[in-house]
Amino acid sequence: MKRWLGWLAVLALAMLGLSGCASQQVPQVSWPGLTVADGKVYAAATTHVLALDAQNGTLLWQFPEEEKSKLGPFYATPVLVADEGLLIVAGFGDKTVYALRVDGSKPTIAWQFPQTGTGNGGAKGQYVGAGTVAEGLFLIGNGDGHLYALKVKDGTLAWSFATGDRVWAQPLVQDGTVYVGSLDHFLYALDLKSGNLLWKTRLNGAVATAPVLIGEHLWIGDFGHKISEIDPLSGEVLWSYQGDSWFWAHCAVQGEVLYAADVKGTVYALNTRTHELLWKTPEVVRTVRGALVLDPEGQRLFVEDYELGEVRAMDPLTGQVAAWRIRPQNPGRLPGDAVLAEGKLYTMPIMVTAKVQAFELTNGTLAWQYPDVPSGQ
Amino acid sequence: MWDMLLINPLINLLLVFYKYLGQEPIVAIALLTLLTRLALMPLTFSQQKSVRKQQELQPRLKELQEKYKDDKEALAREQMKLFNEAGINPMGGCLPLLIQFPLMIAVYQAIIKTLAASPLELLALPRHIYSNFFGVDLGLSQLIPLKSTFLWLDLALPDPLFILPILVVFTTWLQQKLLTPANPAADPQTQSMNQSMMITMPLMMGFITMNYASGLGVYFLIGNLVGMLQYALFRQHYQMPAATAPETTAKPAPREEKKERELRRKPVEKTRSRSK
Repeated sequence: MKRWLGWLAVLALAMLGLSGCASQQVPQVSWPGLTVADGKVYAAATTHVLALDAQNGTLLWQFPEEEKSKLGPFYATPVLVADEGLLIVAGFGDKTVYALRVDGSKPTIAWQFPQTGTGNGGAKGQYVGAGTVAEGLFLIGNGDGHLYALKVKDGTLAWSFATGDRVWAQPLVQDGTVYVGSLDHFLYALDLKSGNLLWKTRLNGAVATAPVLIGEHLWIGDFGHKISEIDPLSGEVLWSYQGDSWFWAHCAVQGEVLYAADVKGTVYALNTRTHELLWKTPEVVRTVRGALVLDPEGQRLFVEDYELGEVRAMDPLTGQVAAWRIRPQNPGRLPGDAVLAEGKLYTMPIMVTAKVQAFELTNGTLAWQYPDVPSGQ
Repeated sequence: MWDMLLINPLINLLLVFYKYLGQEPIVAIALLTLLTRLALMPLTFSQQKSVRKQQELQPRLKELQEKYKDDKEALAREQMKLFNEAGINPMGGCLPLLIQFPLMIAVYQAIIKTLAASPLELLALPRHIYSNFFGVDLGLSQLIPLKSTFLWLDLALPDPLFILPILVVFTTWLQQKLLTPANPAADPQTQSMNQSMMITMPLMMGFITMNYASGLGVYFLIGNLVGMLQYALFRQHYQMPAATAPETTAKPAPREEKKERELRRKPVEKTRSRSK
């Protein structure tokens, strides 16, 4: 009997050890995103799309209405196309793009890609990176290695472009050219109208973030620890800066200064004209994935700590970390991009009951959270 | 501590193998499994040896159990004496297993973390990768994400065709069968436990392979194959008792043979009289 119990204990330990950090086919958590416009917060949260009152967090609607949902989970930030009255969301698990008509009191599906019933023709992988709208097209990368360009009006495919690996980065559109990075280490420049390749440039590592345009040059970070300055016409790498770890968070820009953070929490300020490193503050937080955000006055640079679920404020001039921090009582984790709008900083924690949290910019106190759960939950 | 001592070195070793062996994750996983199995070989042999010796002693243990069925203390004392004479540590079968276990779990975790099936899992990876190793930049970050396809498999996801789980179930069963052959002399409780393990273990491994990343299934499969190879080596080195393996023709190692002969010559009665 004792030996039996011993074996059972070993088996139980094995199960515990093996299942402890195992990956499942569809993960239960994602990094949800939100967008704020016209006093409303639109959030793609786990398996639902929510519309909340930006002032007090009251739920205006959720899609689908039922608690049980087959959508998502969502990684990609929703995109509002205000003049069409559409909110476009893209699912990780269901590999589908939905355009919701949101100009009425209740949302309805305007179109989806792939269209219901057609079976194929859609993306074969998951959507992770946010989409971009330009000149009547919705551009979004997919885990199947393609960048898809869908017509905003009806969701039909205008063109698609194949890269060598997953496309998790948000595309940037500038002067009729689409710039998009892929995990295959390349940055691609495509013609917006046709999807034809203009050039591609190999970087030092996988690219999972969108480039930013400063002056006349593109700047982008990669998993090979480098931030590169690129000529948008030829794709030539003009200069690069060697950081300490992967660059995954979207950079912030103020004038000619680029603010970047690597995943291990070191924040950098680079003068993009002189190539001078203005400051570098190591380990401001433990892990950074969410975009760096500057307040409208350019007085504070906000950095999300993924692991601790808090937001740290820094002085953009010196890199000094402010003493105060935004730290909810039960913080969860913050993998998604924080959004600064209408005097508030919005975050979407995971692994806690609250899905959306709004903080006052003045003092970092919690303005509201949805759902409004008692502290400690 | 667990990460620093085991997981991180294994992840970086896996990445180094991946980098220098054609950037094929399956080759890197195979080599890592092989190396860890080789590193554990002395322990595995010691465990197998201990199990074998205990099996050999089963008839004599049975005799003792009958003799001292009403005196548990005396039985324990006599059993311990018998083990001492045979040079067996009663925990010898269990301790090596307990030492191997953390390493096996660590290898498993290293594979899962390196393959990183989802963006959130990938986000956890950079903390495990060495930026430099004693001042040398190995350039391991540039390898991420690893190519994860092999034949029909995406190593970061479960096998959609269930071929790998079937192979894992079969090889686990075969390995179990080889390591714990039927021993008619064993007491019914041990026999029933062995039979139960013969079914439970393969099914458990198959279940895990079916539900988790197939890279893990590859690790199990290669581990089983290496385990069987180790067993073949063990058999060459250590002669099995006639009762349990009549088909064996290989000669025992001289030292083992001498020890066995001495052991068999000693009657249980002698042991008993000495204990009185």
